[in-house]
Amino acid sequence: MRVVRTIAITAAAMLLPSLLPAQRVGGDPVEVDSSAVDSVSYESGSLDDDVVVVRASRLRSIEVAGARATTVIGRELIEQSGRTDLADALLLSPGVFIRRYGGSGSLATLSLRGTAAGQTKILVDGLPWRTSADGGADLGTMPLENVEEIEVVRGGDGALYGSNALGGVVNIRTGAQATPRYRSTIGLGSFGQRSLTLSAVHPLHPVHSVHLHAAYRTATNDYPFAFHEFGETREVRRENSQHESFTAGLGWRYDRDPVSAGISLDGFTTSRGVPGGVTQGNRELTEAELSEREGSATARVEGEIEGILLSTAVRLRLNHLRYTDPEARFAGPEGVDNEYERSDLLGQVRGVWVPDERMAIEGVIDLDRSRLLGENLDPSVGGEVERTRLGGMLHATRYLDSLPFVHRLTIDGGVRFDRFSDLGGYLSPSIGLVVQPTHHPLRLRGHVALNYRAPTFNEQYYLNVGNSEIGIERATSLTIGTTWAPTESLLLEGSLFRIDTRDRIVSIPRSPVSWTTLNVGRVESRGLEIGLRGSVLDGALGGSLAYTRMATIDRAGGVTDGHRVPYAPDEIATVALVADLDLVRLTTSLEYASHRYTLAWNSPETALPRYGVVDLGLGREIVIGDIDLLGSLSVRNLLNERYQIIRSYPMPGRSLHLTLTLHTTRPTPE
Amino acid sequence: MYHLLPFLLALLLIGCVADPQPENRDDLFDADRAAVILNEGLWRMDNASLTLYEPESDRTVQGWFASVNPGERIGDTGNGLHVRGDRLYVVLSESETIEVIELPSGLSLGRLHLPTGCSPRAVTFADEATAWVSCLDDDAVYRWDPTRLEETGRYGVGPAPEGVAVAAGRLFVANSGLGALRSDEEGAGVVAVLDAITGAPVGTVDVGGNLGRLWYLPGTGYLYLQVSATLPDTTRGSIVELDPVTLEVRRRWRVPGLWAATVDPVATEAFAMTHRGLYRMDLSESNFTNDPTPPELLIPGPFSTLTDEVPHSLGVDPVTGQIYVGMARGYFQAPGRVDRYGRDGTLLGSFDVGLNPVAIGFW
Repeated sequence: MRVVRTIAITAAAMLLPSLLPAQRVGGDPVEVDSSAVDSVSYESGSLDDDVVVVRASRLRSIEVAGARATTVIGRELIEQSGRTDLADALLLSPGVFIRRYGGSGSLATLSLRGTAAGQTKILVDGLPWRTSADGGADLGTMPLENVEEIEVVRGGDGALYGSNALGGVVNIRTGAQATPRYRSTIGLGSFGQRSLTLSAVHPLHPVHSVHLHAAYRTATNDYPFAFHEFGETREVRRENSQHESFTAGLGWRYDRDPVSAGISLDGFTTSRGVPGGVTQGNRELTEAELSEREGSATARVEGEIEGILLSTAVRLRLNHLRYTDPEARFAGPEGVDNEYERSDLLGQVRGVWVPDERMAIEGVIDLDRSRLLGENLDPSVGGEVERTRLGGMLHATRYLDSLPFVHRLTIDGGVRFDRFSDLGGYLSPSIGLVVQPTHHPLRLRGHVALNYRAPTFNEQYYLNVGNSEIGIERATSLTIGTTWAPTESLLLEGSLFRIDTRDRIVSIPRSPVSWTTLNVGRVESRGLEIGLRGSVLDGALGGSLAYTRMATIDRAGGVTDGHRVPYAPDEIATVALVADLDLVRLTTSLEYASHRYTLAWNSPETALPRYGVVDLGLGREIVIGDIDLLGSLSVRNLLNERYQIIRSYPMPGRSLHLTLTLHTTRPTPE
Repeated sequence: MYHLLPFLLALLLIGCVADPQPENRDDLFDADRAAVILNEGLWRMDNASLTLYEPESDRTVQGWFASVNPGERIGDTGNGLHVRGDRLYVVLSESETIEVIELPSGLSLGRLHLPTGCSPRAVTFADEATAWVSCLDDDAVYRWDPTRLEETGRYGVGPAPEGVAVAAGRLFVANSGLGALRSDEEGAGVVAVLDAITGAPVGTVDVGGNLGRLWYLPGTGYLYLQVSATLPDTTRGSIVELDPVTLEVRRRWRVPGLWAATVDPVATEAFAMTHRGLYRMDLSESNFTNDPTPPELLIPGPFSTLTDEVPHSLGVDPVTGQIYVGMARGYFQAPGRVDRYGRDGTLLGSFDVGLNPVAIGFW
């Protein structure tokens, strides 16, 4: 029970926005059942009459009670569906499209509901992974090994999360929050893929534990691909696509009811080639390299005072990035050699008050300070720029039941105010409703929010492009949908959405050789999302489906008004099936995207054709005492589909991956 | 098992969006006299194209090269074109090729592949077997043989060579220094002079500024050099007259904010585009001082570079004297347009072209 209690407090602090609507009416504030984390059953998150139990099983895929369209991807689903990196795992959520520039470890950015990478907020254990000054995250550098759970909140939610949450929010929960366990994985694959990961959460004492993780990944990525050149089709190998990364972390936790505290030290170093496109036989950027190293320290204290759950967190992050390209002679005889130092300090105080069984109120005050030193900044800023932000948020949820014609109504409202040192202040309100008409586990929900995105340092100050006069982007987000759990083993979700982004920051040419950023864009994104998770045959056959049909349309009023925005497909789908046979587990998945236009002018010649990539995997689990040994062999791109997600960036064909995992758990010492 | 039903129904949804199909191509025709527009495309998007325009019938063929040569694309990032007799030479910087096309058929006769890192910018010819190409990223010019499509030598000239022209047995190469990016380097803003056959150094002319295209007019016997503004500083820009024998700057027409220019070899006039409009200069004027008659504003602007329509190229029809202005549209993301003007600045008509018309040639 202590474990459950501890997890409840931690989860309430970290995942509160999604958990608040799931509180038991007339019972404990939140019940979180983590017992299914390592089970092999296909249980669904239940939707009982009086309580919503939030399970950590693989099928707790869709947040069943909240006003927001939310998908939760647990560790088991990640592993059993054969996902090998974070970008792959995110595809299990509707609304997600990954813009990949190559194979393993290559640049990969997230597009949620047709929005740009910088328009989705990414959190790690509740704290922003990057500040508003940094822009879109490269998922290719984010390790998956230490991820326990990924929560994808689809639809803008600036009221809860502040800047950048126009398309939605991705909240990554790491092993720092997990129960005691020890895991080691060795991976081998085609094109030089090698990986070794170690992670452990080890209880030193009933109230103390340490957690650590380390991962080494490398690949040559010299996969063959075919291209059409001067009337002939030729096959060559990808060049300069290699990568190498090392990630490590160490932390300590203290848990003694009602207080918990923790310190984490995390870091990574990566080095990789930055290959350019392949056009007319030319392979661009064959010597460009990007190396990055980062270290961060995070401290947290959580507890309960006078019935209020309080949590505080402070994080310091230092990042060094170097980009070299000796071939880029436009920058001089030595080419390009640029270095950037980034740092940010973030502090957050969060309080949760449950005054009665029908209401919960949450408040947050947070502060961050970002700093960038580097070359290629506008000379007017002297090679160094800074931004400070102070924000506050108030969020309340109210439950009403025994209403005429409605079994239960939940009202969810929030407002946030952020003030930036260089941009002024911005207000972000949101409101949501959840209606459960009857005792039947069917809920209708709606959510509307006004969101914003602050410009990045690059958009403001990058040499010959940045414009310090630009302001924020604004977006209105509307989602209506339904969630239905007809049985214990089936969960269905459908959502209709619309995001209207105004004052979008775009780069436009001010001369043939120089560009500038301006708030002149407008984009409308609208569509339908369907999510399905379920199992049959007593859990022997399970599967998930994420389907999105949408239109992301330029509404800026120019000659491309009404056209599709580049690299925003109208249709995305990911299907994963897992069959537990007597001896082995068989997994298969399909990743599909319809055509993408590569230019704002949508002529057929600018479209990349649709693609469908099929993966197939076999797994075998052997239990020896307390140790689970899991071996899996997977074939990626089984049908050897030749495709590009981004024009001129060929993707790998068929490849093999072998993974061996050792996993064990031990109870907390009494 | 009925639980599988919604899953199977949802699976049926996948793939309901069809790929767009190519539109019908324009009908091909042979034109004895025509304009060809090189559409730059976008950098590393492999979508340069050619538009054929026949003034007599006001007809166009979009994607002319791809239509005449099925299965082929002209290449990546068009930079320049050169009409010489019944041959059209198209320079593509990212493909690092010079495509040779037969006129008027449009058939591909072959291509010269230049070394990686060359980024070719412009071509000129010394004789039937000796041609030159400037290599923007290699700080060099390459000599090549147009009869065999072979490169025959590399000659370093200075930072970012762009315009090339042959006059008085010499090769003239304008080193731009990429505007402000490399303006501090030795040789930036300088015209390098080489022997037009052997490539041996002859001398230099220090003009200063962001040097661009270079033309030789047999009618005057002089070279004309485009010096572009280095934005956002719009106070600079000029057309410069060089003597190919004495290697002296003879005259300089100041055109602040200049970003595109061309010359009319028949009327011996030059035209230059700025944000204020289109200017005309009389090159035949016998004024040998450094204070020539100011340029005449022929078509008043404004031609703002922050709108979604930007003038991107200039050309003059050698027969009609009409001035062709290539307009990039949709913030350089949409197919462009060419506007035709009379010598009095009257708009005579327009026709659609491809993405970012960067050069206009006539035969």
